Amino acid sequence: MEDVLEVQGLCKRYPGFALENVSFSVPYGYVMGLIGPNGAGKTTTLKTILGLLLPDRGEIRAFGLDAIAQGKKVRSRIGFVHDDPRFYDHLTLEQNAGLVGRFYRTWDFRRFQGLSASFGLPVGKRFGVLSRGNKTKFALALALAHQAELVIMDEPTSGLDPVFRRELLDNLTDLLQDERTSILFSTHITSDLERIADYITLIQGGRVVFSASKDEILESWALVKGGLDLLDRLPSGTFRGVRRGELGFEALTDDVESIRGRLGDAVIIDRASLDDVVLYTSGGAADA
Amino acid sequence: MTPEPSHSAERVWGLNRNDWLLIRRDWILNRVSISMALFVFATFQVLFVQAQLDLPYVWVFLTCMWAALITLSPLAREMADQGAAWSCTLPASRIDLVRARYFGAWLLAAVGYLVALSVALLAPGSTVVPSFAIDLDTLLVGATIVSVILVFLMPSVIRFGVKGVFVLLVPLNLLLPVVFVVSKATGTQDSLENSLLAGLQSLATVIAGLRDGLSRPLFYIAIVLLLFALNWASYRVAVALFMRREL
Repeated sequence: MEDVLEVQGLCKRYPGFALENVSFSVPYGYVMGLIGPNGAGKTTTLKTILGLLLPDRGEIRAFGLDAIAQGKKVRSRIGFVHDDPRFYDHLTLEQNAGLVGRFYRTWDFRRFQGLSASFGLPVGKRFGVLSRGNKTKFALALALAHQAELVIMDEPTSGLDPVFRRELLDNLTDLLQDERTSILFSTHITSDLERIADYITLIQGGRVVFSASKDEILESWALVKGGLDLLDRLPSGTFRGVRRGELGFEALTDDVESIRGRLGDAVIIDRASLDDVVLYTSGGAADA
Repeated sequence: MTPEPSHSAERVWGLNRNDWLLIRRDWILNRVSISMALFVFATFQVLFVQAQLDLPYVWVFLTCMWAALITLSPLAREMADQGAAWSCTLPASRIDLVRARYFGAWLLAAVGYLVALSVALLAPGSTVVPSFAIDLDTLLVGATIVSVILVFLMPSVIRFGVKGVFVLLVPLNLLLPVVFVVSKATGTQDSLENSLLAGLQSLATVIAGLRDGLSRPLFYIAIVLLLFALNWASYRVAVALFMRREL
């Protein structure tokens, strides 16, 4: 399967933060979700892909091109949706689109009008007076009107109410039917990704914990529940995260078969959600 | 970051399609602030004319200084709206962005000069003589004033945004008094003043020597080339700084 985006060994250091050897790839026509807690390095990764930050090391290839050396060509095929979309507040949506669209040779104003209508955007209104949700939808309409092959979205649903979030995700799902648009979607709201993502990359503390298909992740990770005495039978490091309560423990594992072999029916093994995976691997599951 | 080549078959006056789009965008976005600046500029011209001062080079100096400062208007919005980061997500290279800023600034300065000239000539009782205002000597003096301001300010503003004006001017403003205070304290004030005067006199001598030694057309060409070289050097510094800017 061909990749629309390949990130290999990406490193970026700041005082107090380092992106270490980040690698993942996004296949053509699929949605890659980039998850991780706040400050994990998601935005730094996206900004580096867009050329806003300079990598210390590593390689980024998009559409087979070097995204740093050939950034102009690469960005002409990318649509970017920022978590707090920044356009020109004093101009109407139509004026904003007219100003931005000209930079793209593939810009299709009719498509922009069609998307605006289907998203319910008031094109005659000034950008500055739009709600947060409509600003995000406008950014998405712009990205799609220049027929971006890769849409990069940085926390597009954060701060949106559930109705708007659902609408936005539905819009994305509809748009993916063409199978030529790929999406790299960063968020810390894992339920969004459970709905639309095909692949997931989890970043924590600047490092990739895993990058795999969503189905593979949901099949391989599990929550194990049992009595506290069972924990003593297992060597430390068996689980990726453990939460101890008064009556028992709950822990995350990516090696279900081994746990089942060792503990048998003494434990209950449940399917882990993406939220569980992020919570336990980030050390956020505190003892009760 | 390795500068990205900026080849384009559609070049007009050395600018590619993106450069023109960026200049167009900046002028549309800043049309209100540019119009206001030009209005204040025009008012200044009317007042200057009413003062009936027969100081043509003061007029040139103030007019060109204003024209150069108007060019910072588009950069103010770039900073306020975090526009630099947004602009860098467009399919335009950073070189395109810097080049558009320089050409846009010179175009705006030229428009400013034309507006000033028109107002100054049309205002009743004007002492500004048309033949003086469009004389090659006057235009070169004006271009030199604009160049001096842009050459120093643009790299700093492109790197740091509008606060770049302060990054440049505040240390300069502090440095000069400090140098004088130190020279006074160490008893070298006279030699410092003499050195400064000697430097300025040498510059004047070189320019006068060029003017006397060369034919008029060659002298003008030499000055134009010198100004172009200064702007080019400033542009290259701005490109190098902007390439390293993390957004």
